[in-house]
Amino acid sequence: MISESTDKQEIISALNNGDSVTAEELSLRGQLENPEDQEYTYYLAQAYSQKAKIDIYTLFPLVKMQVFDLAISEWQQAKEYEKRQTDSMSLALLGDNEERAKLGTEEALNLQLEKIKTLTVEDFTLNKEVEYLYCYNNPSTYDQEGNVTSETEQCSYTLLLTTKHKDLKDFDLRLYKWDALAPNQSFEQFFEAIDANQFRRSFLDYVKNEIPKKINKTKENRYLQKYIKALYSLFDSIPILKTIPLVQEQGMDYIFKSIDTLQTVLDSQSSNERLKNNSLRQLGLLGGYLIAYTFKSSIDMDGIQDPIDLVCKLNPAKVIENYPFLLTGIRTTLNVTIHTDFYEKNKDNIDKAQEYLKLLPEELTDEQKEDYIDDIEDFKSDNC
Amino acid sequence: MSKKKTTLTISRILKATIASVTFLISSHTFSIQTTHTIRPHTSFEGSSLSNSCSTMHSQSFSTRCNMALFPFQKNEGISLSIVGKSDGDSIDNGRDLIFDPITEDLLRKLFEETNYNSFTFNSEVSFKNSLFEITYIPYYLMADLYLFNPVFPEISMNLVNREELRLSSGFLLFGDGDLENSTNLSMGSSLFYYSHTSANTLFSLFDLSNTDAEELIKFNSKYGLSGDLSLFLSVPSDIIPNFSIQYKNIASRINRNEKLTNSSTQLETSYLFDDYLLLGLGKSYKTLYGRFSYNLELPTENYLSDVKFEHLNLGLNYTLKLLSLFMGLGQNYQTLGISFNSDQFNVGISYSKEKDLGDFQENYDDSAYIGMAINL
Repeated sequence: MISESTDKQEIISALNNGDSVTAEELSLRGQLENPEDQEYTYYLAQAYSQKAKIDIYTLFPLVKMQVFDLAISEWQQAKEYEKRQTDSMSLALLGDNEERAKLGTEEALNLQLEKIKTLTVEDFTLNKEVEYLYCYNNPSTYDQEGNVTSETEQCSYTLLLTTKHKDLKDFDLRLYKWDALAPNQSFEQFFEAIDANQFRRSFLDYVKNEIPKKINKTKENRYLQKYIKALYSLFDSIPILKTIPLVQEQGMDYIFKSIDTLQTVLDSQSSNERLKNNSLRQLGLLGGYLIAYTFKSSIDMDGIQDPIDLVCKLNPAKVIENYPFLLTGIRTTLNVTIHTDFYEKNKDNIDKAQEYLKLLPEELTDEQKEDYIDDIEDFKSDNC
Repeated sequence: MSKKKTTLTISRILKATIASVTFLISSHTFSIQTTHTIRPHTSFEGSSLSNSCSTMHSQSFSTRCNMALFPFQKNEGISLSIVGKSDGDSIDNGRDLIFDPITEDLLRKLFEETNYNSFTFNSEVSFKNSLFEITYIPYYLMADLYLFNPVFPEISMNLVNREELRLSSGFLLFGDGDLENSTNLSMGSSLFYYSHTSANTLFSLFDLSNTDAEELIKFNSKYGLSGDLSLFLSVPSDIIPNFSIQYKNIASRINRNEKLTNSSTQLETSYLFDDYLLLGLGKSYKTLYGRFSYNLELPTENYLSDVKFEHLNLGLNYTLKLLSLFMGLGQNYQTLGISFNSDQFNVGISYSKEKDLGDFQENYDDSAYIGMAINL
């Protein structure tokens, strides 16, 4: 009887010699004879990968690819893209840094809203500044012949309301008012007699409405930042994407088989650390490859001069054709992140993304395909 | 050079190996057995004979083969010697791996040519008189790299840097020392202190992208006292061969893990630092046209109960005045060497077809070794 190690040595030798058929046969036999030994399953995945005929060395740059920083490298925190945010595209979409700084963080805004909810009009004072004033006399009474017997002075004015209260000082309110003055009353006298509480109430209501708007804007900016970052990462990765080989359809079947088999090794409790680590990385690589494959085969790579070209040169029909590869690629890379530190730090987002991915159909309906193509074409006609 | 400094040097070289590639050591250790022709305390001549020389007496290299030959070796004084692998696919690839960036082309080449690469080197300074020999080995270096699974490449690496200080001697137990005319029984022994720094790791090529070399390759050191004990029996007959038995590395702390020796992924050395018995059978013939010697050498384990016939080696030597020819023949090693020996200076070169991994290695690796010695 052949010993386990000799058996495994034969599998490795077959893999080393590119004999994927023998490697697959021996791995399947080993798997049957030693169902608890996940090393055979791991080697089976290697045989499938070899059958897919992806040249591993051409995938090697994927590890360094910006767009897969989160998926393939150590899934560390996303890099800061401050430098990129200063260029024209970011400025147009996000505004400058100072403008964004004014928005504040979502957490700070939520905290501020909680504090303001407990404030009353007595808790702060307002500065009232008249920015615009126009007063005129308006007839108020007429005699039988229709002649004006008395006039009332009416004023149209803009008030700028500000406060020094620490939780409210970031806000100012402009009120456009129209008031009739009492007989013989000047605007100054009227302004002094105005009920300050009325403005304070308005100011407080305004701030309470304004903070949720700011929170939404912050969220929008965050998504935009991510979108820009993804576009730039993808743009940076074009030279690498160009080198990624496009495997034949049969090769894709073996990639899917390899992914399923490696997932079994990764999920098995009897897999040792080496097998788990290698499976994790290989899954990341294969998932990354599927995403890269979709990009490469759906975009006219040679025609890209600017990040916006990534959408302008996109062939939506090809994306639809490659939808299963893209979906499996994204699902695989996301599954991989669950086993990394990155997941601990971004658990909520990844869980949400996974839930969302579960809802996605395995195949797109005709209606979905049409909607998608229409959206892309609309964007192209507006921006390209 | 201190142990710490040496470790740092090796670590830096390895970092340079890896730094050019922009993933984790398995806690499980397995092994593929590797043997080498250059062993600690081996001479160039010994390595050229595939270390099959334990009955080759009255030669300048005899005590390197068997300390029980000490009473029959006359040369005294101080000598400095080095022996190392100088050329071959393996050394080219090893050099490329160490000093050049790991590129797609290099990896392709490694899998296409030879995915096993090794480097060994030994240096010694010795002082010998008629009573004893003191040998200091500042560097015994060994680096084995095995690259496997081209689909998702993994690197198995075994690195050793060893320093030894030996005190050796030998004496006649029986006979008059006349090997041509009487039966002799001699005994030899070495007592040595060793400092053994090693790293045995397995990691995937993709680990290299984001993990420092220091994280992937962790060195550990062991120190200890060990010894060799040997016996040599010579018979005054042209037909009946002489016999030797050597017990090497007695009480060594550098043991082979028996559970792991049949692994398919991790490298482990055999007959280098672990304890084993070595049986030798051979004869030397002195003629008008020089001296001809043959020797058969066979390692055994578990006190002779486990004989390793796959490691049986035949050594052939012909010496005429200043010139020596060597041949080593075995299942895993085929060597041909030549050396020029003067009183002050020895230099030699040998060519070898070798399979350090034994049956696990499909093709022989072509290598060249050079050796030099200065006798003061």
